[in-house]
Formats: sequence, C-alpha cells, structure tokens
Amino acid sequence: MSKISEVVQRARAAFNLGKTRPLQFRIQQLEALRCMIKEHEKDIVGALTADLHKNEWNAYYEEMVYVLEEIEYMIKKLPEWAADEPVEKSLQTQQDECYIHSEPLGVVLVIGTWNYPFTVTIQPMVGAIAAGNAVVTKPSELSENMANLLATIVPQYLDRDLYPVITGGIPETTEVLKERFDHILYTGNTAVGKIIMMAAAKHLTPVTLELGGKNPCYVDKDCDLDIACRRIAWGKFMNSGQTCVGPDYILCDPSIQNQIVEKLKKSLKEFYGEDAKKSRDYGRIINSRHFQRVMGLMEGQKVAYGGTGDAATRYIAPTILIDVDPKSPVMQEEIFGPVMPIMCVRSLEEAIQFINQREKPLALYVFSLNDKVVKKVIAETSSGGVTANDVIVHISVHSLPYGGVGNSGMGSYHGKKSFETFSHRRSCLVRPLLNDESLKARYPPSMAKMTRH
Amino acid sequence: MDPYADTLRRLREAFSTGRTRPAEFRAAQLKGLRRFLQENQQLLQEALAQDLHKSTFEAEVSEIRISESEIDLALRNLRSWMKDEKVPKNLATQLDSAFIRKEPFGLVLIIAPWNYPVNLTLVPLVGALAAGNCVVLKPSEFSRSTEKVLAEVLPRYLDQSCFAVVLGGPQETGQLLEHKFDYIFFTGSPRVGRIVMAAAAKHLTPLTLELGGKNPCYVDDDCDPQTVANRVAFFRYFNSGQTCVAPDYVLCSPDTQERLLPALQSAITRFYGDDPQSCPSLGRIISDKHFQRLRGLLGCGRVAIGGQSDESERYIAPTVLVDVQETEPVMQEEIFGPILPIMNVRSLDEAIDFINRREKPLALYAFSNSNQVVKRVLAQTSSGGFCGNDGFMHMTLASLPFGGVGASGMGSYHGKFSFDTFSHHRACLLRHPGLEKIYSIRYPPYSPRNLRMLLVAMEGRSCSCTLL
Repeated sequence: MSKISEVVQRARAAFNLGKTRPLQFRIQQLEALRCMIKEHEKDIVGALTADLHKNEWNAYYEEMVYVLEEIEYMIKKLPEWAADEPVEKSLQTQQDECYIHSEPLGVVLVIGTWNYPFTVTIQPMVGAIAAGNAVVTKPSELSENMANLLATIVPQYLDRDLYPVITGGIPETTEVLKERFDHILYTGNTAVGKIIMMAAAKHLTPVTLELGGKNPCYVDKDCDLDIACRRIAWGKFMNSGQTCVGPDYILCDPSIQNQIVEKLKKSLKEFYGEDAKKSRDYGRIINSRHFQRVMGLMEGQKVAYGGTGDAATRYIAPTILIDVDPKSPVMQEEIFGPVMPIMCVRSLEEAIQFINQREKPLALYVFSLNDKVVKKVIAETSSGGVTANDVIVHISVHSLPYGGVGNSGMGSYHGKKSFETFSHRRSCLVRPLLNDESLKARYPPSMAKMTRH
Repeated sequence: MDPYADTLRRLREAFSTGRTRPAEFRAAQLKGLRRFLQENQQLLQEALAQDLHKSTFEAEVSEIRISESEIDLALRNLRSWMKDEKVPKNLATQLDSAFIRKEPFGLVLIIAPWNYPVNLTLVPLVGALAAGNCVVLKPSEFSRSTEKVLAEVLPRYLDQSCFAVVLGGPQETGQLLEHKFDYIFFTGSPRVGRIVMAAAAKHLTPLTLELGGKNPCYVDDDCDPQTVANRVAFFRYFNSGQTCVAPDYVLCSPDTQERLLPALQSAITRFYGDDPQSCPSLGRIISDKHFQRLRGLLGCGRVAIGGQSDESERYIAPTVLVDVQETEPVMQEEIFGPILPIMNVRSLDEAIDFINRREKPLALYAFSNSNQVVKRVLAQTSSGGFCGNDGFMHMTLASLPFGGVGASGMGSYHGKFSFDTFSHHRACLLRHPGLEKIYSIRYPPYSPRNLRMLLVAMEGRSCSCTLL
C-alpha cells in the first residue's frame, strides 16, 4: 500500500472510532487551528511573501482574517447547526418525531490552490472539521512555501490521524484521487475540475468544485466613475490579478472608455506609485509558465497603460488594454494576471448578450447608480455570485454561499453552507411501535377500499 | 447522425428567450401537469397494471396521489420559493442588500426508472419546472406502457418548446448523455449512476443521483412481533418488492426470528390470501431478466415462507428466507423483489457492525419498543433516510429531503428541496455606491497604521474585518 493510501486509511480508521462526533472535540480542533494561526502569523506572512510577494497587510486582510472569522463563526454556531432540525408534520405523522439529523460524511478531501494558498486550503477545512469529518488536505505545490509550512504546522496543532496534510504535485494528486472519499472539495481550474469529477464518479463521491471563468464587469454610463474605477482597480490588481473572483474584463460604452482608462490609471498610481515594480504592495506572478502566458495575452493588443514585464522577478506591470477584439486570446481564457481588457458595447442589451454568449462566470459585476440597470443585469445573466457597485466582497459575507455555476463550478461553501456541504442531512421519522389499529387502513387487501369515481 | 441535437438546441433557445422565468408560465406548466394526471387516471392505471400488475390502490397511493400532492405543494408555494432569500448581514453591510437569488440552471435532463414510473418521473419534473428550467425527460423503456403515455400524452399538456420526451435504451441514453445539460437528475442503480456521473463530468454538469442499496431492517427482541411483521411485510411486498426504499433484509436474534416467522406468515396471508398469485393487490416483476435473477435468489438459504414462482406471469410469491450466508447472492445485491432474507445477529452491537461494514443504504429501519435502541441504531449508522418502527413513511413527508448518501446517492428532493435542487443559488450583494471613506482602508499603499487598526479590530471582533 502506498504511503498516501496509508494516510487516508488511517484517517478513515480514526473517523470510524467516532472521535469526531462530539461537538466538544470539533470545537477543540477549531480552537487549536485558531491557535496555530495566531502563533504562526509571521510564518504565514513569510510563506505568502515568498510564494506571491504578498505583504503583511495582504496576508492578514486577504487571507488570515477570512479564516479566523470563519472559525469564530463556526464555533459560535456549531451547536445550533448540528442540532436535529424538526420539520413540519403531516396529518398522518402528528404523533411521530420528524426531523433532519446532520451527520458527518466521513473522510473529506480538500485540494487547495496557489493564489490564496492559505485561505482556499484552510477555510474549507474549517467547515469539514466542524461537520465532524476527517479531512485530508492537499495544498497546491505551486505555492511551495505555504504547502511546506502547512505540512509542518498543521500536525503540531490538530489530530494527526484525522487531519493529515499531503504534499506533492501531479503524481501525488493522482495517487490521492484513487482513494475513496466521502466528499471532495477542489479549488482550481476547469480542466482539472473535470478530471477530479471523473475520478470522483468511480466512487460516487459528491464534489464541490470552485473553478473560474472570465468575470465580466459592466460599467454603466450612469455611475460615479471615480469610485467605480477605484474599486475595480483594487479588485483587479490585488495579488497581481490572480484572484478567481477578480473582475476579468470591463464592458462599457465607447463614450466612457477613455475616462475609465484615465481613472483606472489614477487609482493605480495612488495605489502603487508611478512604477508598481517598486511598490511593496504589488504582487508577482506565481511562476514562469504563468508569467509567459499572461505576457503572451498582451501581444498585438492596444496598450493604454503598462504592458511591460520582467521575467526575472515575474513582475507584470498593471496593464490596461483598449478596443479589444472579442476573438483575441486575451478574451478567450481567464486572464489571471494584471491585465484589464476593455471591451466596448453600444448598449446594455449588447453587454448582456455578450455575457450570455459565454460560459457562466464565477462572479459578475455591474456598476450603475440606476437600480433598474443593476436589476436587469442580474435578472438576465447568470454567474456564481454578483456584487453590484463593488467587486469581490460578496464572498466575504458569511451568510452568502460561495460557489460557481456551469463551467465556474458546482456546490458552494462558507459559513453555514460549509457545514451543510460537508454533512449528510438525514431524514428521520420515528414513531412508537404501538398497536396497529390506526394503520390498518393501509394494508391490503385493498379491493374494498377502492371506489373509482 | 445525432438525433438529439435539434431538440436540445430548440429547448436551449427557448430557455434563452426567458420564457420559463415568469411565475405565471411555471404555474401554467404545473397546472398542465395536474390536468394530465386528472384527465388520464384510467389510462395511467391501465399502463401501470400492464407494466407491473400494479393494483388500483397502489397506483393511486404511491404514484398518482403523491405526484398530485407535490404539484399542489409547488403551486401553493411557487411564488414564495421564487423570492430572493434575504440573508443576515453584519455590521459592515448594514446599508447593503444581501440575498440569494434562485435561478433555473437551464436545460435539465431527467432520467426516470421503471418501478414507480409515474411518481419518479413526475415528481422530479415538478421541481425542474417550478424552478424555471427547460426539461428533457427520458422515461424508462422497461415500463413500456407508461413510457408510451408519457411520450404521447404528457407533452400535450405542457409547452413543448420547453419540454421534450426522448425514448430509447442504454445506447440512446449514452448518446444523449454526450450532450451538455445544465443539470442531470437520475434515478436508478449505483452502477449506472457512475456512468451518468462520468458523463456529467465531461461537461461539469451538477447532478442528483437517487440510487439504491440494501436497506437493513433491524428488529429488536423487545417488540411485538405481529406489529413488526405487519409493517415489514407491507413495505417489503409493496410493488412486489421493487421499491428502492423497501426493507431489503432483516437483522434479528434467532429468538426473534422464531417469533417473527409465524407473524410474517400471518401478515402475508391476511394481505394476499392463501393464494397470493390470484390476489389483485400483489404486483409482478417488471421483466423476464429480473424475474430470472430473482428466481435464482430463491435458491439462497432456506425458504421459510413462499418460494413459489410462475414464469408465465413473472410472478414470485411473497417469500422469506432464513439460514442465509452473507456471501450468498441474496446478501450481495439489492434484491428489488418480494424476497426477505433474515440474518441472525446476537446483539445490537453486532447488527450495527454488520450494517456499517456495508455500503451506506438509501433507507434504514429499526424496530423496537425502546426508543433508546432506535436512537442508538440511528446514531451509530448512516443512510439516506431513517424510519424508526415503520417502513418508508419518511419519504411521504414533503418537508423531509429524500435522497441517498455514499453509494446510495447524492443530493435530494421532494417539496421545497426539489425546487432548491433544480435552482442555482446565486449570492448577490448590492453595495452602496457611496461611503467610499469607510472602504478606503482596504486600498494600497498599506501603512503600518492601517495594519494595526485591522489587528485591533480582529482582536476586538467588533465588526466584520473582511468588509472594510
């Protein structure tokens, strides 16, 4: 048996012992996780800096805070969520106990990714632990420093048998996918999402796939462009554009394209100075392959700002492209880099049509002071989630489910949705084993009972 | 030649026009469905009688009435289910609007089985239509007469630009599954469930799989054997055992077995008479293939009750087997027939171990006068659903989600759960376009001061820091 197989079997055996059932145990593990984060803040920041040139602020604000809040919320709500949920009874079941009983699924596999390597790996773990599962975690090898850190510190704080961390690349991931799990949560790209679902199909394992897409950002003529552009610039260029819910491209009327460019430039200079390369707040591309890929997307395009890069440091300047042809490569794949194409559309209808001709994205953004415009865009499109008049922030509301639709994914998590995703909600009906008198009517022979009108 | 491309394209185009979105349209479809049932009761009864020798009573209770009540529930609640679901906000989002929007997925494929061909086709259809989807229905080719009614009569009651019935066997279904759907709802065996999920994976199509398994029925020593026998027999032999949630096998002590056997015989005689073959209440096996399979199972262990069969009618007598080994075929596959094996265990612990060594079933039953025993079985096992002291009553309550876990399936439906299953739950946040000063803390350049403020806020946990 391979080492990975052993690790998974051990997790299953530990789960079968029933250790994770008591809420007290789960809360203890979550508190230990919280401790781990607090005691290793500096190490976490260090890993994020090494992997993605993130600074202290990014590490706290864009990663750790999410996880800490999730843990807080989970601990507080767990007793309520884990309790049996009585349901409405029918006439025939008045004397019975009818409720939904939440149970752990068993052994959950969480496969993380590299762009917010701490959050997307640990936040799902929080929900899986709270729901009472054993959790096998496989951080992304592309964010190597974080993977190594997690492999080191997690076993120091959490039960080692129940919550192992597996490191490695494609071979290890392929190996782990041969094992049987009771749920798999994967964050990453569409192509690999299909592979994961195929592997899961062999064992009839339900999956949550957090994938990606090209998140459209429609900017209406009727809006405060200063504010809109500042918010868009913030969301687009954070982590050097490597955010699955970041705005991927802008759709706007040709009459405001220039203003948008100017205001984006203004915000970018406020954020990162004249030369973003010198800014401590500006990220880097994860690796050379992605660096080459993103640089390639700019070829042949009309550059209104930026357009340069430095392979040695994997730096790509904040870039704005204008008059972009929808058929060009930059409009064919998720950019996942600091390049913002602006596409001109002549009407709201055209924008909506443009969006609907493409795969459903993970997020959709619309900027308008006109309530009707916002409502129309939402009503006539589909996406995982939406924020109107801002970007990204819908994913930070605990009570909103975070997930995709169509090519951008299936299933969701965060907050209570995490608890539900990682639980089996079992329907229960318990009646007394009393005399059958009241039930006799249902038994055959039934001829006497049947009169057709 | 792709026979489905045109139909699917047509349905997709209809969906993209927004036709199925208004509540009025959906309600009209549901009313059409209700009229279909009302105006074709006799036709459906006859079809079910032909396919499964289903009695008028069973057809009424487990097929027509259940479908009608789901339609009525959906009609009554449609507008409230369709409403945006407001969610609790925290301090930082007080001025914003946060809600979950329920949207149709688009083009839904429903693959239905043959054992309850009306119920298991129409109830999912209710959910898919209520949620605003366009639907392709693939009824089972095994329940031939019902398939005919569904293909020829049902479409007349629905808007055919948004609904189509597709016929065929495994090959045609395979071809159909090569196409992209936005949701797939499948009821059938785990083996085919795997094939459907693999096909869905190619297009990243989400799905609900209602599969099966061997539903254990634990009978405690502390019980009244006749009451237990009545209930177990009723639910086991209903539809001649061809029910995914029927008790598949009994686990009890040898002593209890002794008491159960005469009680089961008594129940069977009372229900089906001395010659069950001539009783109109008892169904028949769907096909020759399944009949042969079940006849083979009669050779396992020892026949304690029944055991007769008649190939010409695909009739199998209500049967109880004893002295069965775990390794015998009757304990290896889902029986799906009127055969009830009894396995002996020496204790509750042994019963629970036995259950947990196997795949998680769709349903699990425990009979005992002691509520403690019932609750213990519940707590120490897992299954799609559970009923203490009765058969599959839990699935008649629309307020309980109906679905499996592990090898018995994923996802659930019935009542509001159907509507939610066939909807995409879209997270929406409508941000206040002003208040820029409050948000400015999040913008670079980042200062140590901002970081200190954030850390203090994190410690105090006085507000949601992530929304600054």
